[in-house]
Amino acid sequence: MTETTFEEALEALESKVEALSAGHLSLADALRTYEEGVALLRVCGERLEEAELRVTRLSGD
Amino acid sequence: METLEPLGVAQDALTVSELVGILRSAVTRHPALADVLVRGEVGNVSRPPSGVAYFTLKDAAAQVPCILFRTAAAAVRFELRDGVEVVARGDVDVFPARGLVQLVVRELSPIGHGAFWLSFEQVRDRLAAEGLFDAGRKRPLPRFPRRIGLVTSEAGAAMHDVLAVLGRRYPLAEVLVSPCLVQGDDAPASIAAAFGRIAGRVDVAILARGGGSLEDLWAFNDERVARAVVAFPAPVICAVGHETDVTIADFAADVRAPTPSAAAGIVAPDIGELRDRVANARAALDLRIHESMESWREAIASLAGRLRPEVLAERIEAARGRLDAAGASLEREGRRRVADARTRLAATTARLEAVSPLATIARGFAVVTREDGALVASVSAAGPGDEITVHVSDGALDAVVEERRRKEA
Repeated sequence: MTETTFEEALEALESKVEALSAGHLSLADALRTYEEGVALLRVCGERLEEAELRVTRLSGD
Repeated sequence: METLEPLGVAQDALTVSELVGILRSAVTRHPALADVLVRGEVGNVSRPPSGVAYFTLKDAAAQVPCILFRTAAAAVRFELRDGVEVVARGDVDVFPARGLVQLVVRELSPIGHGAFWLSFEQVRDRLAAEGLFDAGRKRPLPRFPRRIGLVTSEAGAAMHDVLAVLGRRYPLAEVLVSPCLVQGDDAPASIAAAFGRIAGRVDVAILARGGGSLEDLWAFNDERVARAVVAFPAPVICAVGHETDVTIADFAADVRAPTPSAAAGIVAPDIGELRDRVANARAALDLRIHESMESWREAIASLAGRLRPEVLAERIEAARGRLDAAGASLEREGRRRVADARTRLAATTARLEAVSPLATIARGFAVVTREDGALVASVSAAGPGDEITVHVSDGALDAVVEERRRKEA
């Protein structure tokens, strides 16, 4: 699956927050980081909303 | 009527204590009565608050009173109740106060489990010696398992419990159910095969079985199950039976859960926690960008402050002040110089006046000039008939020379 998973998105999002919190980004970098964070937020929200436990039963022997 | 003859002399008789003492001595010294294994049915269970347990062991024709002292009673791993078939290990003793022969029980197992426990301990000790249960082998659980393996019986409540909890707590996952037998002689091989089917396909696996009797759970004490758990490439959570049931699979697993539902709670975070984390990240992101913008804004404001027109105006004003001062001083200097010049002019004029012929004239002298304006300072300058002008203080007299008289030397 090439689609970003929830956990990847969440971890990426939290690292964006960390980068912004460190506070040594240029204005352009800070804005770009923020925009990327917002995009990741959207991914996280979508993943949470669409989440439904998938159950696959393997055949026994 | 005959009186009863004494059986012997009174002093030959044993006291009760002596008799019981002999009995006790005979019982405790008898090799067959020490560390004895007895099987039978439990009856007359009595558990006073002291923690000691009393019961009888009986079969169809006989019974023997038994006592479990407190520590031994606490170690009993099943419910001691009337009707249970058990094997007891202990020592026979006589309690003098009641003249009672009792089995002092040290270990008690439900029937048939004596062999089980022996096997349990042997397998456990052997695998422990191999290092299979070492703390260093325990693998950490993934934070966000994407695929969760579930090794259990498709017919059992355990599967339903695990899926229900996961569906509620962490619906982000995919569960691969790998069915197996969970009791009986074929169960260990079936469990190992079920692990084999999901090896490499999941981030974590749960080995689950609902509660049951010790015999029901026995497959989970099989060495093959323990080895399958240890060899599995991803961490394994073992959740077999109830909280009090401990199997060898529990020792082998990376994490032991008290029940299958608990395993489902351990294997994944709660989606609510994840929602909170997303919300926190959202708030932090907004706060940080706001702070960042604010700090840039402050930096700009600080720069703008240093570019204020007032500052420029102040400097212009200062320059103007200096200019004004210079102008004023220039003017003062100019005035002073003009005044000086006037003073000098007046003095010069006075000196000039002092030497001016006009001043002499004013004293009654006259100045004589010819027609051509030349001064007549000598009798040679004019002759008779020449017109001359005599200048006096308030005007002039035109005259004609009548005669020249030269002063005799």
